[in-house]
Amino acid sequence: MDVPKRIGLFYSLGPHFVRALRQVRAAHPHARITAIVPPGFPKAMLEHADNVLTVPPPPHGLRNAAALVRVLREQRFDRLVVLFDSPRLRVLARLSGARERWCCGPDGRHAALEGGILGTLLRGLGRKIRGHLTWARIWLEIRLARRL
Amino acid sequence: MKRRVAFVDLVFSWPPNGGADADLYHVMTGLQREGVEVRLFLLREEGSQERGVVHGMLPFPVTPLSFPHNRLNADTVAARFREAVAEWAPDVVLLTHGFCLKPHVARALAGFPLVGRYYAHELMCARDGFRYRAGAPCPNDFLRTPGVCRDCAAESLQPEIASGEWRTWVSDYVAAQAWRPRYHETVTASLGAFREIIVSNRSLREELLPHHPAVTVIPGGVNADTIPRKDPARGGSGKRVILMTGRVEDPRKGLGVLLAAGELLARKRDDFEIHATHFDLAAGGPPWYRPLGWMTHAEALALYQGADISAVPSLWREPFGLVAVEAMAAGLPVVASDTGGLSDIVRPGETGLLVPPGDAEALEAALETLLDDDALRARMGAAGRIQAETEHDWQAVIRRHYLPLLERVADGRS
Repeated sequence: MDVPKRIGLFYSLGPHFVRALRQVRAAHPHARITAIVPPGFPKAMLEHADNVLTVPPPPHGLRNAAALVRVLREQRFDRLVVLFDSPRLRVLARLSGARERWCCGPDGRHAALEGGILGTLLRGLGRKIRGHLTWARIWLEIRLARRL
Repeated sequence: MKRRVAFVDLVFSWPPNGGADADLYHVMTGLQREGVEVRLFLLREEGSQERGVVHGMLPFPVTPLSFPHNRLNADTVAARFREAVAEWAPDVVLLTHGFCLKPHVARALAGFPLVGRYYAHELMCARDGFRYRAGAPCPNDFLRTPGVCRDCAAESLQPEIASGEWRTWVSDYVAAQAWRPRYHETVTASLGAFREIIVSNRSLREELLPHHPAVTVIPGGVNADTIPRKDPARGGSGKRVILMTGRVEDPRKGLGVLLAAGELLARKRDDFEIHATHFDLAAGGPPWYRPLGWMTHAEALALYQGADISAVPSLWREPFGLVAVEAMAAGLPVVASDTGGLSDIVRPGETGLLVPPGDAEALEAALETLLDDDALRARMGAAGRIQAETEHDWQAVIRRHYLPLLERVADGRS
């Protein structure tokens, strides 16, 4: 795998972001690292970034999301790093056009995000359905137990 | 013959996800140094990055038991752990960290000389084990008020359950069917499986004693000789530094109370600064407050060299209070909330001062007492250092607490 020269790091609010930025910098001292952050993001947290890309703040509606994807694609990242493994961030990473997509979790672990958009969406949908069914069952059992 | 001790942990990850993982690591390596044969049996939830994930080599043998996400149910987990542990034939089994699946595994391991380790309030809170709600410690207790706690847990966890994106606690809650009234029976019955139960502080012991006759307090530890000592030559700005370290961004840690105490102090004097390992997202705080940003554990420990007082203003019932012990090992006096493990660690007037949790005025008064008296700070710091070395160094914790407990349990004297 080629060494990534252009790395994007998609923000989270909190110490996790700085730790990830430090880790990416330590692993790739010569790469150009772009911190992708919302407006007003604290400057003190951007010490190890070469470049700051300001993107629309959440909530990301469809129009916002499209603008965000467009801005990310323009950057032509070799690697995009997100800080949580969620279906939404997986899709965003995929749509960003980055050759590699990685997640740096809150516990400091790095892992490549495998899988395409369809698989990610289907998995996310599957989890959501399972979540709603599980909650429906719990809700029903609690109500029944109260009646007995 | 070497004693064989099996550790069963249902949440462990390495690098550590929290204090319980680090505690387990130090206990296991400490026992190994004392000639005990140890093995860790851990639960690996496939697809989860939160538990059972071990990066790199651990210095003790590990038996991971893997479960697919959709096969995580109480009966399967309990049976697999019982089989795996039986095959190794240990003299003692320590069931360490776990959430809602832990009572089921405890019952499955009841045939072994079994010790239960509780790190926080897992037994008393079905919601998240913290027993802290709406900005204050929760007065309820799942063992005494199961109905109230069951409703609280279901109501609080509903959004996460429905989202389908489950953290470890929710995953366990679903697998153990912890919303059912029967779960309370499982929890209370599981306590009978333990020969002894280990907790981190005396108040937890008092709460558990009505449910189990043998509850032992074993505090956590530090490697005291690796913690840099306070350097009297540092801090040349002339300001006294009050330092707050740890997960300061967590509201339960009480930074807000410390800043309120700082406001009160600043009306009277300007010879102090409050430093905290925290990012101030709203830039522009008071001139006496310095948020230092996120730093590694080693960097945070180095801060003690230039500090004068350690503040631990926790609002929740801290099970242990590692940062207080670290500060004492560094030779600092500690001003802490009189709650949970902090009440056991800090000896008022000797190694620091205790104040009621959430009381900014009392905290301000305690800080002022120490700011005013160089000799008192030095005396308390020296006493704290001795206490950390003699009572909280890992080697002392292992020899004083764990080895006698394991002997007791293995010989059937519990």
